[in-house]
Amino acid sequence: MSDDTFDVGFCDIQLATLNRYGELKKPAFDISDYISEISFTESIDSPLLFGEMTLLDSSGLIDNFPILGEEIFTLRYVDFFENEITQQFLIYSLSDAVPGDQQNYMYYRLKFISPQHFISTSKTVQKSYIDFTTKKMAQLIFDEFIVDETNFKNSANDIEIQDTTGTQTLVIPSLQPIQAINFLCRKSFSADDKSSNYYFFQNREKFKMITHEEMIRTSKPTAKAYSYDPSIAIEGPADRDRAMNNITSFFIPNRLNTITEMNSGAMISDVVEIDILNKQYIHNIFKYKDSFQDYKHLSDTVRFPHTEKFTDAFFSDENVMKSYMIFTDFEREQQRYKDITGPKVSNRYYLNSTSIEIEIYGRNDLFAGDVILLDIPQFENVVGTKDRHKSLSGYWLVQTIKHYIKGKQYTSRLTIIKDLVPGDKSGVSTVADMTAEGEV
Amino acid sequence: MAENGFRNLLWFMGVVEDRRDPRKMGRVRVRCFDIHPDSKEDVPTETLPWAIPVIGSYDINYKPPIEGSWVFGFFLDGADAQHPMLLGVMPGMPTTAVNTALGFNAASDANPHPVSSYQPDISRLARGEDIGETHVAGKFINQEHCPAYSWSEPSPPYNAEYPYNKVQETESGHVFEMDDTPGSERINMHHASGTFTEIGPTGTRVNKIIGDEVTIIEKNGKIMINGTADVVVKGTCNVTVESDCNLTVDGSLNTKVHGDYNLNVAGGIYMNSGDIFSQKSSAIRQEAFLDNYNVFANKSVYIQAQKDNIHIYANTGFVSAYANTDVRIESGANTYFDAAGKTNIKATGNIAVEGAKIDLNTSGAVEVDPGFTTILNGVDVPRVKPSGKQPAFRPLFGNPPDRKFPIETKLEDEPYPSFTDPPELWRDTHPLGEDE
Repeated sequence: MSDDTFDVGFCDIQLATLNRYGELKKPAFDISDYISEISFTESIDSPLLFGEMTLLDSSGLIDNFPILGEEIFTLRYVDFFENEITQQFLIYSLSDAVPGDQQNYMYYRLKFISPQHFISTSKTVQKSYIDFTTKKMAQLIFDEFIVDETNFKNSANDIEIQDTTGTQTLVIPSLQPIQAINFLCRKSFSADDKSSNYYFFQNREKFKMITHEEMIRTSKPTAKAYSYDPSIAIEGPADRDRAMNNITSFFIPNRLNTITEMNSGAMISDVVEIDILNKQYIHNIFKYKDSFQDYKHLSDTVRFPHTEKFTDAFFSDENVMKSYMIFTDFEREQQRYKDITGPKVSNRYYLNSTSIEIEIYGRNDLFAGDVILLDIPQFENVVGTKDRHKSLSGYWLVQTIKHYIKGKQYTSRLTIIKDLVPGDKSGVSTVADMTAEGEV
Repeated sequence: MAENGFRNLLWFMGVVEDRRDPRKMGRVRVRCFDIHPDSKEDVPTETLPWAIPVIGSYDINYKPPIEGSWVFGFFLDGADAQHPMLLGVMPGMPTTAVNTALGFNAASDANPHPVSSYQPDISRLARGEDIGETHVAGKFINQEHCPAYSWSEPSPPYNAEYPYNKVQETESGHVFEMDDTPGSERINMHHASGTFTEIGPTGTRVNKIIGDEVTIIEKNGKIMINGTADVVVKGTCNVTVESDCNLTVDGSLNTKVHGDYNLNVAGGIYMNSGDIFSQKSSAIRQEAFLDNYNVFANKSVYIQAQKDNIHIYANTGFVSAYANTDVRIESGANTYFDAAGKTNIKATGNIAVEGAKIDLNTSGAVEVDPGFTTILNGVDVPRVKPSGKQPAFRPLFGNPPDRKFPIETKLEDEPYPSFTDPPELWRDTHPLGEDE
């Protein structure tokens, strides 16, 4: 529970310093008074955190410090719920400098990124991994090439990797470490999560290499609930708590696009397996319709996105719009690209097919890859209590969070995604009901 | 995904480190520059993916590049770089020593010419350089000279100039050359042992076989040599003809045998000559061990012992001599007639016995049974018939033998009409011949 003195969206930057690289033990330069605003982004589609801040510099920090684009930026901040997070970044860009009106200060923008970016882009992995699971390979690469406890001890140096099925022998072909783990994501097969839709990303908590199904499985039970009430009035502590779970703005950039869906091959695709040595050419028609119930969805009851007639007319064997060639290596039969390709393409498409951008008050216990539960009223002109919106309400996966801190105000803009819309569950109208029924 | 990779191929250059494809399908393991490290600890050779060759010549009888070859290709799966394809080999010239502890330094254990610095990969034979280190030197050294005969092994016609000589040289030293060097056009197929077949610019072909040669022809074989043929067999020569053997010589057939000449024939031996049939040997023995021995001459038969005796034995039968005209027995010394039984002399004409002295020695009686008178020293001796019997007729020789020799029937088939009208047969220095 928040302190009574905290406003909604409260945030306190407790530490904002710059250190010269390799001089962490020396006194840091405090820039907390310079920061006008700061934002940073985490996303399941991004292996790293990145952001920028606007500084109002009245002491010539640029040249006196000076800023060389190699400084370690340490940020510690506390949110409304008094959760504290400390992050480390590396400054890599200074731009958009504008002098103040009285020529006694200057605005400029510093861009920063997770230090692992620098570590990764300065190394290449050229190494064989023999009879390992891709999980083991990823762990080895992470430990050897990405972790730097010496210079970035406050940065995320942990990785959570979901189990992968089968061992492989792979030669990492001169990839940067982050590229290498992304490469392994593409090669990973999960017998448990049939989508094999592995993501490699960093949120403010740690690195993760997991499928979206794992995200749903682990995060859904503790999903934070949000409602949408633009007219909420804050008159006391309880209202502030309620407001912290209220969506302040709402936008639906993507709901559906059937042409894109057809062209993407998400509904039906042909994975052409070419075995050069054995002179075999095998078509593997993948139909999402036949397998969509095998995947873990945000909603336990999902509705297939198209009617049966439409599906039969435009997503039959004769309508394969997309084909993928894969090359079978009989000596590396654990490379189950045939089993990975179709499900991954489809699941990734449908996971992103419906997205909403919402804005909420910032909090430190919400991360990219989490699941949240929305209670959105039906957009209709009725008097009294409105029904819950059938498709917008329910569980959503947090794809991206862009955090904004300006002064003591902390807001977050979320891009949340949903794979398939839930089936019709009439009579369920509140978040409490939905939760009780294990919906949506 | 491979789909992206196939449309965005990742090209590579690299060095072949292993060509021992367990599937024996021509694949090689390539360590690619800027994709794989030179550390064999980080990426051992055996973990490199097998590169499948793309054969631009459309000839599936493809020869995988040897270890150490620099090659060029692409990855089918693009930047994922797990499915390499090989497009070709890039010839070069090593200028540094090979360090096989590191990647990109593979050396073939089968390279016929150990990788040496500043020697281009292209064969010396193709370049026409350092020929002393090639099989050409061996050909000169091992050239066969045959002073005892009228011919020798020709000198190697190698005179290649770059870039006319197309050479395929294998790791053990086999060489196939197709040389278009102007004026020195050759085709050479050379085995590492030294056996070769080389066709020189004039069309002369030299086959030299260091080991054995076995030629088996399932059907017919024909050889025509318009010029002279010389065959030298320094060892034993065994020729077996399982059917007939027909040897036709339009000229003379000259056979020299420095040892014995053994001729064993299960059937008959028929030797026909349109001219003289001459045999000369230190000793001659002819034996008919089952049947008769017949000698027939259209004219005379001469038997002469130059220095010793002439013996005629009939072990179980008699000896008969028959002549339509005279039978003459002459002796330069004594003449002996010894008979274990009786000796009968009969003539339809007179019998003349002439000698310095005639001795009739008998342990029995001397019986004279003249048909007419008996005159001793001009005195008519009375006829004496002690037995009172008429003298019986006892033929001495019986009927004359059949003169049809087998050779007469063979003569009828011979194409030599001169045999029936022979030339003068005997031109030797036989003393009796002079009498003829």
